[in-house]
Amino acid sequence: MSAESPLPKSKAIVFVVDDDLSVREGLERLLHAAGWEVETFPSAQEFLAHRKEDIPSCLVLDVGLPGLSGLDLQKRILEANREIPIVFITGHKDVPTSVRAMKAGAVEFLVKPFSEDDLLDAIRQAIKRDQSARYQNAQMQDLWRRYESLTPREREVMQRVVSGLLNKQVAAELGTSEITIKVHRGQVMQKMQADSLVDLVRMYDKLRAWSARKR
Amino acid sequence: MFETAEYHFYGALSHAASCDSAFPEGQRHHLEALAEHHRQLEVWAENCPENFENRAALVGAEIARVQGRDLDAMRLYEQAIRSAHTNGFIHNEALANELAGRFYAARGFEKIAHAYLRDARYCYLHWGASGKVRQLDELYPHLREEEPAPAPTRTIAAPVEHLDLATVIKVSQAVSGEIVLEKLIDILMRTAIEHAGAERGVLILPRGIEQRIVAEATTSGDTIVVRLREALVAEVAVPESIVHYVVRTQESVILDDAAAQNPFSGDAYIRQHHARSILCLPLINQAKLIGLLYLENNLTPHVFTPTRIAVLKLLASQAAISLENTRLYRDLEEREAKIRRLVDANIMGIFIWNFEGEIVEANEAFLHMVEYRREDLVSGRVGWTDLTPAEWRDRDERALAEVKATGTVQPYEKEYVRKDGSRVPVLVGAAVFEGSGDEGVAFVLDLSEQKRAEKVLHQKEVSLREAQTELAHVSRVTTMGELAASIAHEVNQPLVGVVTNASASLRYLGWDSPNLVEAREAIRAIIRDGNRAADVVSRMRALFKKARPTREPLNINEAVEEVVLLTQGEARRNKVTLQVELAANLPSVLADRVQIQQVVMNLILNGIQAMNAVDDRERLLVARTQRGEGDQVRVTVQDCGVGIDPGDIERVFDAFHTTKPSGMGMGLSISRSIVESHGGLLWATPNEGPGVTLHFTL
Repeated sequence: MSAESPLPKSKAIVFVVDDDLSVREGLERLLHAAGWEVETFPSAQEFLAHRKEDIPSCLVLDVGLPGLSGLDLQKRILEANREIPIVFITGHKDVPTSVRAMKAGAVEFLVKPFSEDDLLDAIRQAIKRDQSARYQNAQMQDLWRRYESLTPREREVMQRVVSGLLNKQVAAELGTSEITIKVHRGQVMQKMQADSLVDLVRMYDKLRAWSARKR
Repeated sequence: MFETAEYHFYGALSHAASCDSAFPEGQRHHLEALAEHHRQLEVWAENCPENFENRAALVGAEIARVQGRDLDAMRLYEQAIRSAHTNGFIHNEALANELAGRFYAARGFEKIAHAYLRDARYCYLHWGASGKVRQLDELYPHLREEEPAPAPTRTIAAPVEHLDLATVIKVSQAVSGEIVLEKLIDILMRTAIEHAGAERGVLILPRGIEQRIVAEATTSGDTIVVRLREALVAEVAVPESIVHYVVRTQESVILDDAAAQNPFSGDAYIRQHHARSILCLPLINQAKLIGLLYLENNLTPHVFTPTRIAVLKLLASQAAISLENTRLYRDLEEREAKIRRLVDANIMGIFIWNFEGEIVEANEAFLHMVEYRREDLVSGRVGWTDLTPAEWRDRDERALAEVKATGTVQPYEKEYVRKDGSRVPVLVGAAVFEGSGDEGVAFVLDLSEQKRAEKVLHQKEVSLREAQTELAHVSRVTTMGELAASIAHEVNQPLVGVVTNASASLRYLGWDSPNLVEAREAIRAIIRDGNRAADVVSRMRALFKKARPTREPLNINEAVEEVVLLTQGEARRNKVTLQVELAANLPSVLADRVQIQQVVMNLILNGIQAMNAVDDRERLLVARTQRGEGDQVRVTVQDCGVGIDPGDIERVFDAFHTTKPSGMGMGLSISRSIVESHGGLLWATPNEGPGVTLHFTL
């Protein structure tokens, strides 16, 4: 791969958790040589205790860790809603374990000794997934901030507008004049930075889906 | 001298007796002779009165009688009787009494005569002159009746003197000739009635503790009617008290005249039937009461005279024997019937055989077992030896020896050949008949069902064992799998280090400005991880090798024998004959016993497995010990299995090389390393014939 590009295109970090020193050091050196920033941990506990920079990242995780195992760690991460993509590495080819890991959202499940390309591809994919997740997350948060800038009245108007009601229908429902609704509507479009009604409807759907997922 | 004395005495008496019937001329001659004898007896009497006084006196009395000197005669008779009695001449006393009795009788003194005659009879009886007693009884019938006996009951004092030989023989023959009980009883009753002059007779036989009447005979005119019946004694007309008395004492009871006062006068029967003459005889054989014969005559008293009773007594004892015989005969018949029942019940096969090999008789069950017809066997065309398959003949021979020695054969298993040639497994026991010595009986139990069941059981066991073996193999493979996994993991970790560091160093070197420092670090890590992998491998080898073996003096023969014992079962299961040839006087070697035994076991098990496919020859495995060079010993294990391609013969010692589908290929490799660690050699050579021989030296 891009062996000639010593530094990553954007800032990202790869975490490695493996109890074996040879593996840990080898991976660290390889990933560094491949241009990634790497941080290694000999156990799951130490990884959890580490305060991490909020930049795109992924986790290369040994399945058979002593104490808290790789799968246990994956579970904890999901529960904590931290959403870090995981590349599993294992000494045993163990189908049930790999299936469990993949179902729980792992990017890849690699059996030692794995090829350099497979590992680097998996890491690249994982970082990419994290980057896009982060981007979407940032967008959603921006949208949510805009929505939160609406007054309660503006939110009521927005709700009815996106459901397809005419201004006068909205005015009738809310017990006010059509002209007042028009003003509110203008405020909503402006605050939400919506170009058109269709744009507003799309935003509203995104917000609803996101809040449903958060719940 | 004695004869002379008797001559004078009896000569004198003869002359005296002859005087009565002689003419006067002859009388004088007799008297002269008498006087002559008398004189001689007188002389002797002077010298020895104890012996001769009685004789002289008697002859003197006779002379006085002949000469009509009655008073002298009376005195002399008395003197003779007294002297004879005093000195114990009972015969002379009898004679003197008899002559005195006649003397008085001739003179009309009936009472006195009777008294003398009675004494005479008594003396004769005591002396044992039964002929004289009989003669007296016939001449003077009243004498006997007044015999001083415990009348009216009395036992018959065996008056054999009264027996009439012809009657006795007739009775004996009649009774002893019969073996059928009913006929015997009929003859017995008729004969008894006939000879006793009885009017009615009853035969009573014991049945358990009871006495039962089995026959009753009655006379009607000249005919005798015998009816067989079964009745309790109490129910039929017999005097019960007499019957019980005879049963208890086993003595006869005779009532000359039951109407007279007697101990049984109280008996209801006697009173009601006005019985007169009654005779009840026990039938005794060998001191055992066989039965009772009761006879009565209600018309006449004194019917059962001594003569009749004597005959009856003989009849009774003869009848007792015959009754006992018929009972034995009947028992025998019953036993025979029981045995018949056993044989014909056909619960088991039974046949009667003889030492000539013939089957004398066989029951249906046996015929069914061997599927022959009765005619085939009993005609002698097929003997019991023919029924036995050749391989069982030896066992039969042993059984025959056993039966000859002990009379019986403990049951043993064998096979018979059926008519159609098929086999039937059986259990046979036999015994010779006592006394015959030539014939015996055999009991045969069909074991087909058991054998079938055993076979099924055996098959189940075999499949169970196979399952166990399979399981053992699986678990061993599983263990190996786990071992492999852990080894893989141990080696994998440094390998991952090596590969990733190598990749990293390539990348550092490939940078636009190659990062030599990092590349060098990566290569150092590669060396470190490579060494680590090497460590894992050598640690593993050490694990396999374990500790240094202990070396102790080892008797190789003992070690091999122990292993042979351990592997015997496996050999049997694989139908392999395990043969051991151990050389004598082998030196002991310094070796680790357990390890060397592992090698021997390995070689033996390999040999057994190598012959698994062999079906066309005996699966023979030979383990030998021999003396090697110098103080070495050599052990060889020779199989006759599939063998090894000569080109492959060294490869069998390579780890992971295996010719077996399920093998791991470790056995010979490990064995060789063990032998070599002992300073020995392990190698293989192809046999002249099929198979391989493995050798090792120590």
